[in-house]
Order: sequence, then structure tokens, then C-alpha cells
Amino acid sequence: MCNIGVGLRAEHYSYLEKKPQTEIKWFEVISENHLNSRGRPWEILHTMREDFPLSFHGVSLNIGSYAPLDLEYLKKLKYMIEVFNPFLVSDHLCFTGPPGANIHNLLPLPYNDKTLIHLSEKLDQVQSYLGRALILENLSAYIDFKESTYTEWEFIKKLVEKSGCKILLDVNNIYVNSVNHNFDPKKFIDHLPKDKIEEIHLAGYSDMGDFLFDTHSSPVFPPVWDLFSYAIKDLKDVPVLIEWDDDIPDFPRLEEEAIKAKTIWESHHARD
Amino acid sequence: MLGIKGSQELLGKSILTGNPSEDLLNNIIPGGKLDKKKALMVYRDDYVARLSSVMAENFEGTHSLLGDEIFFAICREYLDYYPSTSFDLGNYGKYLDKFLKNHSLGVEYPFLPELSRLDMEFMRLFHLPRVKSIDPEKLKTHENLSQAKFKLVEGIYLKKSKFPIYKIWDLKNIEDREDVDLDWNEAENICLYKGEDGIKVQFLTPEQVDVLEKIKQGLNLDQALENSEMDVIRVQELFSFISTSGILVDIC
Repeated sequence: MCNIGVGLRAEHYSYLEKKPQTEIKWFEVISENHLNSRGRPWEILHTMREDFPLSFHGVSLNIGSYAPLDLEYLKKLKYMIEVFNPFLVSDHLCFTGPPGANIHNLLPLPYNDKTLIHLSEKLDQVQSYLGRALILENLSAYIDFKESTYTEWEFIKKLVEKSGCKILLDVNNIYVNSVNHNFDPKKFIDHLPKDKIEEIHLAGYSDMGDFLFDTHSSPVFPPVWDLFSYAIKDLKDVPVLIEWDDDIPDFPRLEEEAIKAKTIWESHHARD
Repeated sequence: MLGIKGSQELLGKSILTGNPSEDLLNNIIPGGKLDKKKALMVYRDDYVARLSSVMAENFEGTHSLLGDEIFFAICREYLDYYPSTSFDLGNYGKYLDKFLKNHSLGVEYPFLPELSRLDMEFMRLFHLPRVKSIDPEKLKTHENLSQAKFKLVEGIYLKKSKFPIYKIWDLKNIEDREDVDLDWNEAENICLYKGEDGIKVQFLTPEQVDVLEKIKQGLNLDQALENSEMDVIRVQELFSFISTSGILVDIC
């Protein structure tokens, strides 16, 4: 069975509190929206957890930063994990700002051996502290660093081997990067160790003319569906999530998009 | 070669200021058909748009009153002055009242700093838990109320203002503002609070705000009322509010 999920967003709280019938099997929570709240954003997690598994998806772990880890942040995340027992905990392969600033964006790193060693050490600290493997998502990037000596997919594979972290495969990000940085997206997917992929993300981008922008503001586009179809041929039991963060539609429309993912999945695995 | 630290410091600075260094420009490859500066501006523009949008959510009353153009211009100035330092976007803009006090707009419209503080207090209360109020029986049967200390909920904001600050804030809920007859110089004294049923506001007299502030600080009823010029009716009103609104958690 295809395990489809969607992001839990404030726009849908009231609808979901009525506990409607849904095909959605799980919800992804942006950890930072709930870590410091004990009001409605916290209460809704209790409500949702009664009926659904949750995954925690972070945007501010800042694992790639040259600065030390934010232990206060990790402490809060660990507490939230203890309270809600999510089946996945993920963040991004990036940094989110220099010390003293949070840019609230997922910023790229140079892909080379120094970064590999640096990230592995950081991941070791995080995974030891949380007592579980961390799942890291590939990002959309609008610049590369000249000092990168690996492609993004080579780097991810090496990082997984070295650190024991797992992969959150964002198919939209692969497609966006493949257009912006001119590579074959299937090569990216083929190169990754399939048994380390723990989750798939799908989302919509915006075509800005000069580049594709990862905006999560629209339905999933056909080339991303095609790439998803290609990716899941060898991935049977990986949870699939639709992200929609801007111009968020009503919940049934979001659910429709998730059902599309399920239909594609079933075309490959229905007889398995 | 920039290294990890160099690349992060330069990229971070480029996004925060909108001015990339030559060193950074010499060490990146832009994506798409963008040139290097435009590729970096994608991040800068996204940063400005994201935090401005967060401020619009965090400051609904201020945003609604000023309108998009003025509010977002203020946001751009603010975020250059106070970059985000925390993962918690719900708290972003916490210095806006202070910022507006020294801003020409805040000087021209002196209620703006107070309005933005009220917005922030709404956000603070929104993220606090709902707390169960005291069992009415415990209150009824207490033997010496005048000497008792009242434990109130954490979610209380008391404000004595020279302006009708809550009524201005509430304009955001009114579509046709031309019909609103608002005296912009009417003083207002409020208790914004979060009880079991959510966030509410109570209008009080200035003396009631003073006494409630003292009770909040831990003084007993007698001490809180000492030197107060409130008449019996106002005291009864205040006590009725404390005991029935849900702000009273315990008594000892």
C-alpha cells in the first residue's frame, strides 16, 4: 500500500479537527512551528497524533554550519520527539545562516571532502543525542561553489556511507536543480543507495523564466511526476509526501494531489 | 578557496545586506540563466519576502492599519536593523515597538509602537497553553480572601494607553472602516488574557489595571488595594472579572 502523507499546515487545522474521512495516512510537521508553542500549534499535534503517525521535518537544525550545534534547539526537538514519537525525523543538507543570524532558507554547501568530514562529525553528534538516524533532504540551490569536487549525488552517497544518515529524496528539488544546473535528473536518482531512502517529497515549483524556483506554491508538475514514477520503480515501501506551502489550497485539493502520487505508485507496485 | 566558514560568512552577509563581496562572486557558479549577482539576489529576495510575510502574520493589526505598501517598507527597514536570530518565526519582530518609537512614522502616529506591542502580545498569548482556572468552590469557601494571594494565568497583558489601542487593533476585523466612529484620542485601559476559552479582552478603569497589576505581581488583595481610590463598585467589578474570566488559577 502506498503510504501517502501531506504537510500539516495551520490553514487546515480547523478542517482536520473535525476528523474528516481521508486517504492521507500520515502528516509531516515542520518542527520549528511547534517547538516553542504550547498553544494551538502544540495542541493540534496531540489531536492529530490520536489518529495519525507524524513525521518531524526541520528547517533550522543548521547541520552544515561551521558553528557548533544549537543545543537548546536540539533539546527542544528531543523533547518534542519524546512527546509525539514521530516515525521519521528529518532536516536538510544545508546551512541556514552564519552565527548570530537565521536566514530561514536552505543554503548550499561546497561539496568536497572537508565538508564531508565536517558534516559527518555534526551528524554523529546529532544522531547520538537524538538516539536515532537523521534523515537529510537534498535541496534546491541557485548557486554552486567552484570548490565543490563532487556532484550533489556523489556527495550525498558518500555522506550516507560515512555518517549512517538516511535520505529524504525531494524529487522536485532534483528536477529544479537538474534544469538550473544542467544535469540528468535520472543520473542523480540512479546513483543513490535505494535502501537508504526513507521518504520522498513532491512539490510544485515556479518557472521564473531564467530559472526554476522551488516555491511549493502549485501542484506537482508533469516532469516531476515522471521523475517520481522513475524513482519509485525500485522503492516499494517509502512514504511519499506532498508539500504545498504557498497559495495553499483547501485540504481536499491537497489530498487529490497525494492520491495522484498513490495512483502512480500503484501502477508500479499494485501486484507486488 | 573560501572554505566552509568563508563561504557561509560571505553568503550569509550577501543575503543579509544584498551586497555580495567580490570574493563570493569569484567563487560561485550561478544556476539557470542567471548571472552571479542575480543568482545571489534569489536568496536575498526570498529572505526579505519570507520575513516580511512572517511579520504580516505576527502584526495583523499594524499591517492592516498601515496597508501593504507602508507596512512592507517598514519590514524591509526593520529586518536590516534586526535580522532574525532564532528558528522561531512566531517571535520575529519582537523589537518592532522599540523600532517604531524611533521611526518617523512612530513619531507621527504615536500609537503605532503600542499597536505593534499589542500584536506581539497576541502572539505571545496564542502560543501559551490554555490553563484550567480555579475550582469555584475553592474560591467560595476561602476563609480570608482579603489576605489571600491570587495566582493568575501567565497569559495576561495589562495596558493603560492614551489611545484606543484595542479598538484600533480590532479595525482589522472591520471591512468598511469609513463607518467606524473612532475617537483616536480616547484613552483605553485593557486586560488582554488567555483563559480556558482562548484570548479575550476586558476593558478596565486605570485604577483597576493598577490593582490587577499588583495582584499579578503577588500582592494580596489588601495590599493591592492599599492607596487605591477605587470605589466599592469598581472593586466588585474587578473581583468579579478575576473570579469569572478564567484568569484565576489558584488562591493561597
